[in-house]
Parts: sequence; C-alpha cells; structure tokens
Amino acid sequence: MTSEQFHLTGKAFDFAIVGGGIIGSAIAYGLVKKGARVVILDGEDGDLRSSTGSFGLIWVQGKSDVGGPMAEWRRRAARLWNTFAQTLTDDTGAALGWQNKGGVHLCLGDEELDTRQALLARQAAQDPDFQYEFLSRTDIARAVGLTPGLRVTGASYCPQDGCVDPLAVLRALRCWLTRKAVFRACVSVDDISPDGSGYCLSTMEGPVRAGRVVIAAGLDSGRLAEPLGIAVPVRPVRGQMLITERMQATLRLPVSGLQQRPDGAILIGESHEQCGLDDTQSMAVMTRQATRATALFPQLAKARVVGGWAALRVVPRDGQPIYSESPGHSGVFTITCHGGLSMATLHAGAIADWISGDIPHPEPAFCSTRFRQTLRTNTSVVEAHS
Amino acid sequence: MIERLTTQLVIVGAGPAGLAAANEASRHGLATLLVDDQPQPGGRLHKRRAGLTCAAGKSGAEIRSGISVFGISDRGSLLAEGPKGCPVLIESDITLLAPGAVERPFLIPGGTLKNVMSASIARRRGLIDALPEQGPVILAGHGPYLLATAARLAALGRPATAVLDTGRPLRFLGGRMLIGPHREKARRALYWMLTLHRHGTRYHHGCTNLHIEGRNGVAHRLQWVDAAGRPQDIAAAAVLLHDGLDPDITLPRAFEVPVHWNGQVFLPETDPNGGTPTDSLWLAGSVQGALGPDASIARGHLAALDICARSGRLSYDEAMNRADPWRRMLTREEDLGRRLASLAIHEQTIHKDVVVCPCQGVTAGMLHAAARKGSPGPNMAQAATGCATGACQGRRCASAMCRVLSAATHQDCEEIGLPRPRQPVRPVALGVLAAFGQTGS
Repeated sequence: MTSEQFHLTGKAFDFAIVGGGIIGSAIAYGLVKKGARVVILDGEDGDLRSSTGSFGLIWVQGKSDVGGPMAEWRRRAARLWNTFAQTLTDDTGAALGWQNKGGVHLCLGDEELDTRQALLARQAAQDPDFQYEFLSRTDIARAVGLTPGLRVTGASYCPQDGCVDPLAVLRALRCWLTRKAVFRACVSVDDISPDGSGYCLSTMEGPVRAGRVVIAAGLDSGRLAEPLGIAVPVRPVRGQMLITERMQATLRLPVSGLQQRPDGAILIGESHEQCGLDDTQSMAVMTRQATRATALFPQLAKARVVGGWAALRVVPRDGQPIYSESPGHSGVFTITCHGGLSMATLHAGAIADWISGDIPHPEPAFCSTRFRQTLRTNTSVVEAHS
Repeated sequence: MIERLTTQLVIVGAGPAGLAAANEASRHGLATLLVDDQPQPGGRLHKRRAGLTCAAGKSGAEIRSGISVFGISDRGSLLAEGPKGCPVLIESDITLLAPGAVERPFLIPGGTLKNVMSASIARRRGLIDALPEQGPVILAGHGPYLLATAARLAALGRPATAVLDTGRPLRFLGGRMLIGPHREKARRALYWMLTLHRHGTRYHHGCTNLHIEGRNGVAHRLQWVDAAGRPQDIAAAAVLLHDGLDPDITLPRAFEVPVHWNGQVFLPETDPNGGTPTDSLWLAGSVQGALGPDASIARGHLAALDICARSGRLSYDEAMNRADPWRRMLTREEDLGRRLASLAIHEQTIHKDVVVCPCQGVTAGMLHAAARKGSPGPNMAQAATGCATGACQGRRCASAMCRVLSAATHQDCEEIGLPRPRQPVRPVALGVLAAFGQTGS
C-alpha cells in the first residue's frame, strides 16, 4: 500500500499497532477478532527483534518467584494456552508444535535440589491448582528418554508445563494478519501525534491515521511512548541459542534449556547476558551452553550443532509487564513485557478487550505510573502522574 | 584435551590458493600453518595436487588435513574440529582465508529428485560410482566445469548422452583464442569438445526453460526449449547439474568482511592483494571470484607476498618485484574470465516449484509468499520459512534466497542483502563445542 492508499482508505483505521513481533501480532489478532480495522506497522529487516529470542517454553513451575500479581497473571496466561493453540491452528491451519505433556527442571547438586523444593513448595502454597512432583535420576531417564549426567541429583516435573515453536506462532499470526488486517513490513514510525479525535503516525511511507495506537515495539517502545507521557524503563538482556541437526526422537519432554522440536532438531538455550544493545553471538557463551548441555545429558555430546543465534529480550525494570495508557493522550497504549510468547493468550484476550475500551485495566499494578519517573515530552517536563 | 596450535600465519583452505600462499609465505621465513577440512590437500585439483602440496611442504609450511574450522573465539582465535572429533584451537597473528568456491545450484524444477545431483558432488564420489550403471546420463547448466565433467565422463568410458548448456557456444570467443595468450586452455576446451563428439555426447547450447520430470520421486526425463525455440525432451537415468562456482563467503562474513552484489554473485571486499578491511585478515583464491586454479595460485602468491611485506619479512620493493609475474598471470586469467562470462546467459526468474533450500525443503514459491506476507527481508524471510537454517546454514542457498526475494520485492540484491552471519559456520559436535567451554578459551 502506498501512502496515497493509506490516505485514500477513507476512514482511518480503528487501531494502529507499532511492532509486528509476538506482542503486537497477538494484540492485533485479538482486536481483529473483535471486528476492528487494524494496521500493523512492522520494522526493518535488520531491526532488533526480541521475538526471535524466545525459547518457546510456556512454563508454569518455578515462575512464582517474582510474586504478587505477576504470578497470578502468568498462571492465567499459561492456562489459556491449550485453547489459544487450538484456535490459532483452526484459524490458520498452521502446525505450531504445541506440546503440553509437562516439563522437567534438572538440579545439579544437593543444594540446588533443596532450593528447588522450597521454591515449588512456596508456589504450591500460593496456587492450589499447581501440580508437581520430584523425580529421581531413574525417573528422569524414564521420563525424558536420556540418562542424566552424574552431577544431576534430581529434577522437578510439572505436568502443566508446555512448549511451542515460537517462530511457527509468529508466522501463523503474521500470515493470518496479512489476510484479515493490513500488515506492513519495513515501515518505521517516526512520530505519533494527535489528529482530530485520533492519532496520526508519521512513517517513511506517509501518514497513517488511527483512532487508537498500540506501541508494541519492544526495546524501541520508549522512543515513541515517552514523549506521550508513558514511562518505559526496560533494559535489554541477550539470549543465545544453539540448534542441532535433525535427529531421531531423543528428548521426550522439554528439559530446562533443552527441547527437541517436532522436526527433530534439538534447541539449546537460553543464556541471559547483560551487554547493552549488542545482539551478536558470543562464542564464549555458546561453548558454556554446550558444556552445560553435555553435563546434563552426556549422550548429547555426539549431536551436531549446525547453527546458533542471539537476540535481545526485553526486561522491564521490576520484571513485571508494562501495560499503560498515556495519561495525557487517551487511546495511546504501550504494551511490553518479558515473555511475550507466554502472555500471548492474555494479549489477544484481556489486553485486547481493555485496549478496545470494553473492560477496565485488567491489572492496574502493571501501569507504568508505578515508576513515578520524570519524563520529558515534546513541549515540557511533566511528572508521570500517579 | 584441546590441541593448541600457535603460528604466525594460519591459512584456512588447502586448495591451489592456500597451497601457493603457504609455499610463498614459508619460503620467506613466516611460520605458516595450513589447515583443510578434506582428507587430503588440493581442493578440486587432480593432476596438480601432488606437485603443489609437495612444494608447500618443502618450503616449511605445516599442513594439517581433516581440520574443520567452525568458529571464531571472542578474541579472534580459530576454533576447529579435528579428525576423530578432537577440539583444536588455532592462534595466529595473521589469518588468510582461502575457502574456495561452492557450486552454484542450477535452480530448475525437479532439481532435488533422486538421481539428480550436482556435478561437484558426483565428482567427489568418484563420478562413475555416483551414477547408475546403465541409462542415459544428462548434464545441464553452464560453465567450464560442466564441459570438463562431461569430458571426464567420456574419458572414463561412460559418456553422457547429452549436455544441455544454457550459454552460448565456445566459438563465440573467436578462433584467435587458439593462438592467443589463452591458447592452452582454449585448445584443451576444443579437445574436450572433440572428445565428446567422438563419444557421441550431443552438446546443445542456448537451452532455456529446463525442467526435470520424475516418476515416483526419481528423475526420468528432461524437458527444455532449444536455441531455435522448439520444445525438446530427452530420457534420463541420471542428471548432473552445474551452474558455475560462487565464492564461499561464509567464513569471511563471520569475520565481518563486507560483501557486495556484482549482478550475479556476492563478492567479498578485498584490495588487489586480497587484503580486507579487517585487521590482519587476507583472502585469496576462488573466494575472490572463481576464475580457475591458475588465478587462485596467482592470488595465493600475491596475498602471501603482501603479508610478508606488511610483516617485515620482505621489503615492499622486493615483494612488488616478486609479485610481478603473478600479477601478470592473474590479469591474463581475469581476461579469460571476462570472455567466458560473455558466454553465459543468465535466466533471472526462478520457477516457484524449485527447491531453493534443500536442507529445509523451502521452495521459491514459499519465499515469494513470505515476502508478500510481511517478511520481505532476508532475516525475516529466514525466520518465516526456515530457509538457510539447516545443515548448510545458507552456504548453498542464501544467494538464491536473495535472488528470489529480489524478484518478489523488485529490489536489487545489493539492497536486500544476506541474512546475518551466524556461528558455528560449520556443523560441530556438541561435545567439541563443550570442550572449549570447560577451559574457557
């Protein structure tokens, strides 16, 4: 679509979504299903893309350490995955590699095992629906299909854990959105400004008009959101992954940092490095990942690694999502979080409902007003008011 | 556990360029290590393999075969997998990459059927051994290697039934070729054509719209349109494809050497001596553009002399004097390269059914669809289709992917570019990678 066509579509779009990653796409999916006219403006081919750094685990166990509303939000999101995966497959015909047979977290040494037991006991106390059990070395071999390394003392298994192919999910959403909405790749948004009762986004392909705007641009969200009064204190954390050639069935279940994809390739991840905006691979990290994988399962030493990649993930300052509407510009939203894949169910659901104005904010604790940051807007310095 | 090799100059790739460079550098006193992933040095050479290897060895260079360089450490050392899966760490002051060329896949429908393979792979398997015992063998594509392979088949007593060349006939180069500076090669080419004629191999030029038809997944017939525009077909029991040789830029790109599209292929950015913008890194040989073994040998010598001059082993004047004959040889080969390039007729469109990425089964049609559905760039198309994420990591298909995206988006290949380079650049056993993680390289 040329800029004239953007103009000539007559009515502006109901929603413009900046960012076509897993967060933007899931929100768009939800909004389109509610009957809205949506345009998604995705960035350049070389832009930072956190979605490619997702390992694909929809994990329930051990995810309550942050506590408070985050734990409950995660639980809600994970519980909806079965339905979400089914619906998305029905809508798109795409195979998502969604598996919900449970997941295993290995512990090395006795101390790790004790810590893990305490952690999961606390989680069970908070969440009566949470199921788990601890596995001995023999149990691990039986459940996973490989003998664990000598340093492995035990593992926790949760039948509610699942995993999915993150690129397959993104691909399915994107395909569907190019049919049901307007999906424009390689369109950078320079600026968002009020325009009548809605907003005008200036892009290199001309102006785009929409009633409401959702900024879901990951690490780039602050650039557009902060001038409009939404604080987005996030930092990049690099995650690296390795992938092997296709192999015969080896890992029956996803194990902490290891999973076998439906096509047989084994994915090894996921590292966490603080290195600013550097999204290049570090060989030192790759070799450490390999060391860890072979310590967990020595039989994997013969697997041939054919590739690897790195991506910068988004981590908000306090680890909790940022779901905020601009205080001075109603109808402009910023949605960013860590673990956008797990949250996709709620982004397409409750968040889309809130953005549409159908329900109040589903979790006010996630507003960015909690940061009480001084922001500079285009015209003056304003306090992000409480 | 890790074998540590330390040297002043490491040369990766023991083809004609690597061997020539090792010979030259060693001769001037530079401690030189030449590593190659094949069981023996020589690259694609046959008759001249032994001579060049011997010369390099005699000059004092250490030659190690069976070593596959898969990555670069954060400090710039080379990480490799040695024979029997041993981890090898190579530390050197200067690096010369001579990885050679990869065969350009001839992208026609039916190219991945059984009994269809690249000429290069067939030759590696012993040529005759790779073919069925009986039945018509057809060669298709373009390039000197195609003619050479057909001639070899005839010499081995299993002549091909036909060669379908997409380019113009050799006579377009002119009769003067037989007496000019390229007379040796021209005479050899003529000899090959006569050999083919004698053995009954029909040679067709100007072939277009080729496609291979299969029955039960096995190729059995080739169809094409001849130079006069008439549809033709021929039965085939085996098909060998070859469409030229492209620089293998995977390792140079891992070293962040920039590449540019010259209209047909991505070439790395080097100065006339193979020097690159990256410090202490040179390239030599077919990686600078495939012009045959003589050009590679010349380039190997030129790079080595430049390295010796820069590291003080030779004065610049002496290096230039010694470089003179090699520069003349290279100029001559570049001239021949230009003439041969004029014979090529490049069909730009790739049919939708063609498998562009054999590792992951991605067709041109899938890439077109991805480009239309929000993934028009190389990194996004790679994520969307899985193209170039398999065992070869794009070595065979990244350029083709670029061409397809270029056609789909009406943008030049230079603008589209290639997906970001990734490590490991070669498959490596997880255990070998882990060995480096234990000691911390």
